[in-house]
Amino acid sequence: MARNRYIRKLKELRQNVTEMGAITLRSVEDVLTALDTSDAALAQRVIANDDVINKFDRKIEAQCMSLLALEQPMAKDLRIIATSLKMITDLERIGDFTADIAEEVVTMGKPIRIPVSASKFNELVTDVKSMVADSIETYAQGNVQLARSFEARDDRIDYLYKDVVQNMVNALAQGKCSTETVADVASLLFIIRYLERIADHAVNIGNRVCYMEEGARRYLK
Amino acid sequence: MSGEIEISIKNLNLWFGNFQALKNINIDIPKNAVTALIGPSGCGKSTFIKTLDRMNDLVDNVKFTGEVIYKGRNILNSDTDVVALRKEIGMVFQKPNPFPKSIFDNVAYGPRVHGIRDKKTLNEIVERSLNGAAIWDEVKDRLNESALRLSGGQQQRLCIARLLAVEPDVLLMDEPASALDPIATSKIEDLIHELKKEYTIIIVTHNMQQAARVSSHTAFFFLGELVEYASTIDLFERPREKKTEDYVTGKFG
Amino acid sequence: MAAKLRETAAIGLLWGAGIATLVILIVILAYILVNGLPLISWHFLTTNPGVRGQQGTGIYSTIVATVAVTGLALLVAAPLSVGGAIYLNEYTKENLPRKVFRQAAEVLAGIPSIIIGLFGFLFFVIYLQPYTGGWSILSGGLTLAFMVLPISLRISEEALKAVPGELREGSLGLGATKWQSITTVVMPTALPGIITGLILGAGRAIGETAAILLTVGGALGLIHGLRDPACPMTLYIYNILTEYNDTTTAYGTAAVLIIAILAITFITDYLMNRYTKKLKGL
Repeated sequence: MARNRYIRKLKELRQNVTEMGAITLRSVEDVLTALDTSDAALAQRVIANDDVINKFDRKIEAQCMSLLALEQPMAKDLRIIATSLKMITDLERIGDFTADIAEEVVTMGKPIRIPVSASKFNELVTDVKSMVADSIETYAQGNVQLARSFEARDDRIDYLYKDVVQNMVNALAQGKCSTETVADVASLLFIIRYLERIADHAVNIGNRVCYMEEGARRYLK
Repeated sequence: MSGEIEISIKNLNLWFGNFQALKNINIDIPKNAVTALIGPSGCGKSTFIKTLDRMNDLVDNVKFTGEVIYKGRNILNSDTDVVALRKEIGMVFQKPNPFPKSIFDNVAYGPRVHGIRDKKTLNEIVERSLNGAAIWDEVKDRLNESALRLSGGQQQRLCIARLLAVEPDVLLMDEPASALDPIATSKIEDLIHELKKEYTIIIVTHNMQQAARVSSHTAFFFLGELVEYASTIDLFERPREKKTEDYVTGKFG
Repeated sequence: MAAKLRETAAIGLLWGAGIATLVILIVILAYILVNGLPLISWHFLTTNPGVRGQQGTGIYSTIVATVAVTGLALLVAAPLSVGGAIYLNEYTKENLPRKVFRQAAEVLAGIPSIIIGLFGFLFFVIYLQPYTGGWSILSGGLTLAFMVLPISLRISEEALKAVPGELREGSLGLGATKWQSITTVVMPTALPGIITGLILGAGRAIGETAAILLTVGGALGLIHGLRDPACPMTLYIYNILTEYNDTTTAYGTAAVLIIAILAITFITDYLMNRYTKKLKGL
């Protein structure tokens, strides 16, 4: 087949993006572990890791621009590059939010107690984690069907999010929390917001993968 | 682009002796738009456009079946006035072929051949045509010089002007820029963008990027077959056929 | 090394051949001109030859005869050969009739002139005597046309072939008919070649002796019409040498003939050159 060098470069691009995704996923998993076990050291490592994610973002962007400028890519090759270019932005944002969550963990400095809706909170955490993992999977495998599941899952996450926030705000308003707990709740509200945003970015990735595979722009949400 | 169809090709098959060069081609060419034909060498795209102005008749041993409907009639019929047809459907060739005459005489050739003798009319036609081909300013002071003194790019634009002088509806361009340098090529492409407002243009090119730049619709030919025909953005961003995908991504051809 | 040596040797031989040809030409020209030029004068060119080869006369009537018979040959052969070339090259495909036609022309070109002369004698002088006047310019010119025809046909055909196909395509692509394309694009471009072909044919006609011998009669008087017999320069040279052993006049006539041919060649060359340059815009 012709254009062997070019085909290799494309492969390399996909591998790089997948790797960036894996690193980002690790960060998400780590920060949620740190949240659970109040591991400040782990949280610090996550914050430091954001640097790695950002460096990857820039490296892959440069790779994409080089391919665009020098290889005149067309059709699916072009879509792969466009998708990669947008996806690394989503991954980078996920990385940023993960670092923000890590900051909260460090600030809180002690094991947290979730005063209300603890089970729903944990469910949301699990859902977001699996959606991030799956979004990277959809890219690596080109799995459109998996990407399509994100719509329903994000709806569920949105519902959980609104519900937990509502309950926590109510608890604060009704004065059911001690001073210590108020600080915890504040941090939790931030954290849950970040998690909801992370889910949005995972949905974006799903959208881009559908476009990459099928060429049509039929957006999930 | 009006959405109207200028030429409708139905079930076109063509043979050179025993060799089938075109296999069951069905395609509608939109009016006042640029349609590009791409494909590897020998795939039939040049043969295809030469069928549209019956220039294939000049080759020995040509046989064809099918219909090419233009202005309500099938121009492949044996009773078609081929000479009149070529006034309405004109062709620009890969290698510029100006006549060894003056610039003026080159452009005035068509009108003269069709009986126009009045000097004033000819002057107007020549100026209008050279303007239309974006070369008037460059040659207006040397209309009596031999056309062979122009550069390649200028000669090609002169050939276009020559064509415009007979006021065709359709311009067939067979790789019009492949013999030209990049700047001359750009000028031709800009010209094509201007011309499409008034004319229907069909351009054969082996340069995919050029097809992508100038056309609104693209047809991919391979081994005499029309593999895919779509809007240019669709064909290059999301081709439906694997062969098309492989060709536009350079995996073969 | 051996290759280089061989090349040098080859070049040397080729040079030698070229020079030899040139030398032969120069020798012939020089010999004739040296011997003949002194005889040429206004008187020589404008007086008719006297009877019985009397000295001190001129060759005026022979000049007229040469011009007449060549002119007639060209007049007949030109449209036939150019028309034939156009028909062959533009209107036929590469099939049997075309090949037969071409082969016929080649054969005609190869027939010895004395045999063509014999045909001319039997057909024009004897058989068509009431129309041609028997021995006459008319008979001679028509016979010579047969000799001019194959040459100019062949060369015209080559000239037409040399016109690039793109020019014809370009013309047809503008809605011109085939004939229009031929007359306004192909012919003007092929013209230098066609003219050259005609001149070469004329050259053969001017220099022809055997065919002339058998058709034109040899009368020395100035012609008044095409049906009069005459004596072109070539025949005159032959006659005065064989009948009167008059080498001086022979040289003189030969010199005039050669100068005329040289002049025609050079002028045609020059004019065609200029025409071609103009076509190319240089």
